[in-house]
Amino acid sequence: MKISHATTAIAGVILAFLSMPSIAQPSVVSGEFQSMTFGVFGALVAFTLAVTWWAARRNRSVGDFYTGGGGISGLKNGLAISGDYLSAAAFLGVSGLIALYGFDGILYVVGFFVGFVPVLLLIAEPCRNLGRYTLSDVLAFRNGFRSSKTAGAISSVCVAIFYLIPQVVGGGVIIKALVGIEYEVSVLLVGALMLVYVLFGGMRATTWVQLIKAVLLIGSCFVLVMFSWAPFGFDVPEFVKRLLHNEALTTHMHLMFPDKAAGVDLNRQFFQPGLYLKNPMEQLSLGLALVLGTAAMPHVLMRFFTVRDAVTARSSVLWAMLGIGVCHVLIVFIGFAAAYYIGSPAIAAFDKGGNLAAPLLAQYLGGGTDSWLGNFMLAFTAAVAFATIVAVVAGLTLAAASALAHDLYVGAIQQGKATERQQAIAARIATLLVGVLAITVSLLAKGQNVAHLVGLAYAVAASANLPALLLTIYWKQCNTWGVLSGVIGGTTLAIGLVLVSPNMTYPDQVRQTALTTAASLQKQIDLLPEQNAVQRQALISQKEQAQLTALAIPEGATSMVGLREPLVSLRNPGLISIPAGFILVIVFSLLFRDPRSQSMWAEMSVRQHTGIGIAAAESH
Amino acid sequence: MASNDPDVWQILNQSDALHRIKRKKYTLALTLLLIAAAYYATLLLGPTSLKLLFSLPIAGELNFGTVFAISQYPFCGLLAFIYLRKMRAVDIEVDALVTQFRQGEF
Repeated sequence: MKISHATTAIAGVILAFLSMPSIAQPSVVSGEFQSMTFGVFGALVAFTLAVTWWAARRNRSVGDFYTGGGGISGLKNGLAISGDYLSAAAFLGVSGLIALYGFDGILYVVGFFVGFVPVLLLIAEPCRNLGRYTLSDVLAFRNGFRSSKTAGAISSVCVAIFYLIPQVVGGGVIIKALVGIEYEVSVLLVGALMLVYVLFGGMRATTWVQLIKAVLLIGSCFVLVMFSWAPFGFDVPEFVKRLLHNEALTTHMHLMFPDKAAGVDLNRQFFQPGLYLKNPMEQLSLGLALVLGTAAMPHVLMRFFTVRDAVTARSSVLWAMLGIGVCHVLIVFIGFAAAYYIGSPAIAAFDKGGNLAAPLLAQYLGGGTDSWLGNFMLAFTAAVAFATIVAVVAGLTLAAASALAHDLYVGAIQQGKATERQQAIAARIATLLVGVLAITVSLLAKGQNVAHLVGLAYAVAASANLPALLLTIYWKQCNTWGVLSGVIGGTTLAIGLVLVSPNMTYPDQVRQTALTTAASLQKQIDLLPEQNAVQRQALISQKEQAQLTALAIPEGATSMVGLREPLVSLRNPGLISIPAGFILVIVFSLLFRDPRSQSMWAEMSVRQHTGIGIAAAESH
Repeated sequence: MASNDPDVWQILNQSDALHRIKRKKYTLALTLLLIAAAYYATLLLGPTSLKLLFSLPIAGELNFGTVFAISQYPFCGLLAFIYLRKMRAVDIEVDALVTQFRQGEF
C-alpha cells in the first residue's frame, strides 16, 4: 500500500523530530524531565498516526475522504465535533483568562457554547438533508450552481484560514513555552501532522483524532478539577471563600487597582464583570458573532454530512453540547484553581496572557517542579494541548480543502463533471495548498498578534455564510442575487471593518503613547529623591525605552490601510456586519428575480423537512 | 418513486401533512430559540444593567452573576434535550409522509 508506506515514512520523520534533544530550548519543563515530556508527546503522536494509517486503509472513495463514508454514529460525531471545536484557545487561553480576570473569562467562553443552540434548532437537520459535503452544496441546491459554489467556497476558505492561522501560531508559541521546541519547529510539526491526518486519512482519520483528543481533554480537565477540589472536600463555596481570602489574589487585585484598598472587598471584583471586557457594546458584538458564527463555521457544518440522517445529526449536536459544555465548565474551575494554587501574579509572570495557567496547575497538583508526578502531569497536559491544536487545525484544513476542491474546482470550474479520480486528486492537492499556505503564513506571523483573526473568522461566518444559509433554507423569496450579495458583501464588510478597527496597529498612536509615557516617567524621576538610585535607574531605563519606541516611528505614520487612528471603535465587527449581511440578502433577493431559485423552493422545502433523496451512508 | 417530477414536489409541499410538520417544527424551534436568546442576552447585558443583582452573594461568597453565567450550560443543554424529545413526535409524522411518498401516493 503506497499510502501506508508514505504515512509510516512521515510518521518516522515526525517522531525523529520529537526525539531530537537539540530542538529543546528552555521551558516550563526542567531539563531532567524533558525526555519524559518528549516521550509522552511521541506516544500520543504515534497513537494518532497509527489511527490515521488504519483509516487510510479503509478510505476508498471521494465520499470517504470528505465524509468518512457518511455513517458515523451520533455519539462519535458529537465527540468529534467537541474535538473539532474545543481549541487550545479554550483550554489554555480561557483557563488563563479566568485565572487573571475571573468572571469575564466565563463571559467570554459561554458564547462559544450557546452557539450550538441555533446549530441544533436551525442548521443541523436541513444541512444533513440538503447537502453532500459542504456548505456550498446547500447554497447551490436552489441558487445558481456555479455562482453559489464560488461565493460559498471563497467565504468558507476565508473563515477556515482566518481561524487556522491563530491556531497554528498560538500552537507554536505555547509548545515553545511548554516544552521548549523552537517556534519554527513547532509550526512545522503541527503543519506536518495536520497534513498527514487529512491527506492520508481524510475525514475518517480526522474524526478519530478529534474524538481521541476530546476524550483526553475532558479526562485531563476532570482530573485537574478533582485534584484541585479534594483538599476542600469538594465543597465549592468553601473553595471560593478561600480564594477570596487568598494572598496572591489580594496582590493581583491591588496591582490592577492601586488606588483602592487591598482586601476581601476588592477581591470580590474578581467574581464580578469589568476586569477584562470593559465595553458593553464590544461584548454584545463579540457575543453575537460567537453565537451566530458557530452556526455557519464550515468545519462544524461539514460534520453533519458525516452522519446517516437528520435524527443522527440532531443527536450528534446534543452529544457535542454535552462534551463542550462539560469541558468548558471544568476549564472555568481550572482557571479559579490556578488563581488559588499558583497565584495570578505568578501566572502572569510566566505568560502575560495567562496561557500557561492549566499546565502550571497540573505541575503543582502533581507535586511541583521537582517531582516526577508533577512533571508527568505537566507533560501530559502539554501533550493534550498539542493534540488539541492538531485536531482543530486538521478539521479546518479539511473544511478549506473541501471548499477549494469540491466547490471551486469540481463545482464551479468543472460544473460538477469530474471523475472519481479527478475529485480525489483535487481533494489532495487542495489539502496540500491549504497546509502549505497555513504553515508559510504562520512562520511569517512569528511575533505578530493574530488573536483577533479568531473573532474575524466568527464575524465572517456570521455575516456572510449564515444569512445566505438561513435565508436559502427558510425564505422562499431568497435567490441567487441575494445569496451572492450577502456572501460577498458580508465577507468584505467584516474584513473591511476589522482593517479600520482598533485591532490594527496605528503607528502614530503608538508614537504618541510612547511620548506621553516618556514625559510621565520624567516627572516621576524628577520627584524621586536622589538617594533612591535603584528605582531611579529603573525609571530612566523605562523612559529611554519609550523614547526609543517613539523615535523609531516617523511622525504621521499610518496603519496598513493608511489610517492614523481607527474609524470604528468596535474590535469585533459583528454588531454592524451581521445585520448588514441579512439586509443585503433580503434587499437583493427582492430587487432581482431568479426563476431557478423559485422553482426549486418546493423540492428543497420537502427534502429539508423529510430527508427524501438523502445520500446513502456507510456503517462504521 | 416520482421524485424527478417537479409537480410531485409542489403537491408534497402543499400537502396538509407537510404543513402540519413545518408548523410544529417552526413553533418549537422558534420558542426555544427565543428563550435561549433571552437567557444569553441577560448574561451579556446583565453586567452593566443588573450590576447589583450580579454581585449578590447566593451561596457563601459565590455570587449570582457567576452562578448565572455557569447556568447557561445546563440551561442550553436542557433546551436541546427538550427539542430532541419533542421532535420524536414530529419524526413519526415525517416517517408516515415518507412512507406515503415511497408508496407512490403523491
